[in-house]
Amino acid sequence: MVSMLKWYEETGDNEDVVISSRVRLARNLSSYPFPVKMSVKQADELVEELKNRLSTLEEEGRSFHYVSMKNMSDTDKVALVERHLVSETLIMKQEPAGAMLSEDEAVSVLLNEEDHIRIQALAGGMNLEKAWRVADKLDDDINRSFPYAYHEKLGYLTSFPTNVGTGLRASFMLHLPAIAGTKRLAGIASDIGRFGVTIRGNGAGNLYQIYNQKTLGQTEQEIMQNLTTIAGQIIKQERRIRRKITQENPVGIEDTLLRSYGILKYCKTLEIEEAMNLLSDIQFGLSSGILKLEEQGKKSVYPLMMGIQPAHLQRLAGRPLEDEEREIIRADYIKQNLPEIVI
Amino acid sequence: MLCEKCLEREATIIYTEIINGVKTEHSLCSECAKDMDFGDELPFAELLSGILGAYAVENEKREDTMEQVVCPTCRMSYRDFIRQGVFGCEDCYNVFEPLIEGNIKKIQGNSIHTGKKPRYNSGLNMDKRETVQEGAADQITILKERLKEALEEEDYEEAARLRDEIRALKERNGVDA
Repeated sequence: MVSMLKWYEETGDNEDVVISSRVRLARNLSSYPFPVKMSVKQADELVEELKNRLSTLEEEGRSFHYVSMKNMSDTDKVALVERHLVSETLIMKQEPAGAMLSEDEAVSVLLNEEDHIRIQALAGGMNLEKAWRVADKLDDDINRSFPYAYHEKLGYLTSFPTNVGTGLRASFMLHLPAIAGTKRLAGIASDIGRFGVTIRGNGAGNLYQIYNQKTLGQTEQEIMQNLTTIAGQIIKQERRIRRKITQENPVGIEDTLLRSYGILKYCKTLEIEEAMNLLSDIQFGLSSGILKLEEQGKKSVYPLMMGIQPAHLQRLAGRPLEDEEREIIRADYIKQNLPEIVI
Repeated sequence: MLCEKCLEREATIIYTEIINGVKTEHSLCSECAKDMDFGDELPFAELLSGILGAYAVENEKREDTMEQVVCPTCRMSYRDFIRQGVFGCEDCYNVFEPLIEGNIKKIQGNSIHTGKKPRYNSGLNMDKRETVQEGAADQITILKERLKEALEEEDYEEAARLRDEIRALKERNGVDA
């Protein structure tokens, strides 16, 4: 059997800036109170019922496997968050909770998080339609077995009033080294805020998420269209600044990127923040064509960015790590997985 | 503790904001709190109980009566609902939504869902008690809401259309609305 490509191994549109597209649907079953008012027994029942039904599902050739939060080590839980497969809220839950995960890591269904069901679908590059198609179909398939809490006027009912209506949060993960590097983020954040779009990110690796703030009053298509239009504007601006700084000082930029490559390739220890910034340089270099891969392949080091996160390295080592040790393992991991470039 | 905004004066107000289930506490001095923008219709006193509870603070007497309100299905109390900003079950929407009036609209900018509907819900609801008349009454409520919005937005053409639709629905079903 040929194993399925992971979502981040597939190619998508506007990949020089857009890492991924994501759709999340919040749903609750009509037959249970919402998670905040559920007893442990009810939560147990709900999770069992959903798990049994979902384990027979197959979407576009994907099969799912179930992970229970109860039987999982903290390291494994955090690693799932680092891969954006589950939320921090889910792994903090004391009550019965879990997730159905697809083999290609593109689809996850969180059970008993803030809502009974959170369907999440990811696609590489700019491709909300693909993510929506998967989530929409899965939503229908679940609904075939379970009636949803739904209100004629307010739409899908959710625990928090901030998700009511469509229950849809659509988002793009963007790589914005030029915008962030020239301190234009704050301006963009306030500009897009007027259109109901929010930007979030701690600056690590210049990765930022933009998503719709409001979930009620617009159709799913309108929400996604609005977000796509705004992302398009940000992409344009990011490209413009990238071009400008490259044209102004081509040798200087190439020098900076090659130095970053050199450090990643030859250093002995690496802190997370430095590693993310250096990898951001490589991502920029590959996507803009300043750095060229020796062998054909996807021009992205995003999988490496996930791989160097603390819980990932701890899993790799198979034991708890002190900071210093982790930094050595991180440098080593990058050395082995950094793609070869043409010098 | 210093005020997080001016970093000069001592913070005297802790404002808890719940967005998407994420609780954030803000420490502010009274000067800065006055200047904060909490939406145009929320005067200073109301921000203390957060957006959802805003309506209640407006009228203390009313708040006392509201304290008694409990969702019959999941036993969520009005007080807990306001404090946590979370609904306990689907029936809570019928219990608390009328009490918080326009606040969902304040959060969402809208109060009418126009997107996807569950494709398979109806076939599964065996205990469907809704009569044709009740269905029409629901429909009228929705149309009335839309009418109100159309008027607010001064879209008189749409308002006229909705008014006619409501009238027609009432006549067809003999609903006394």
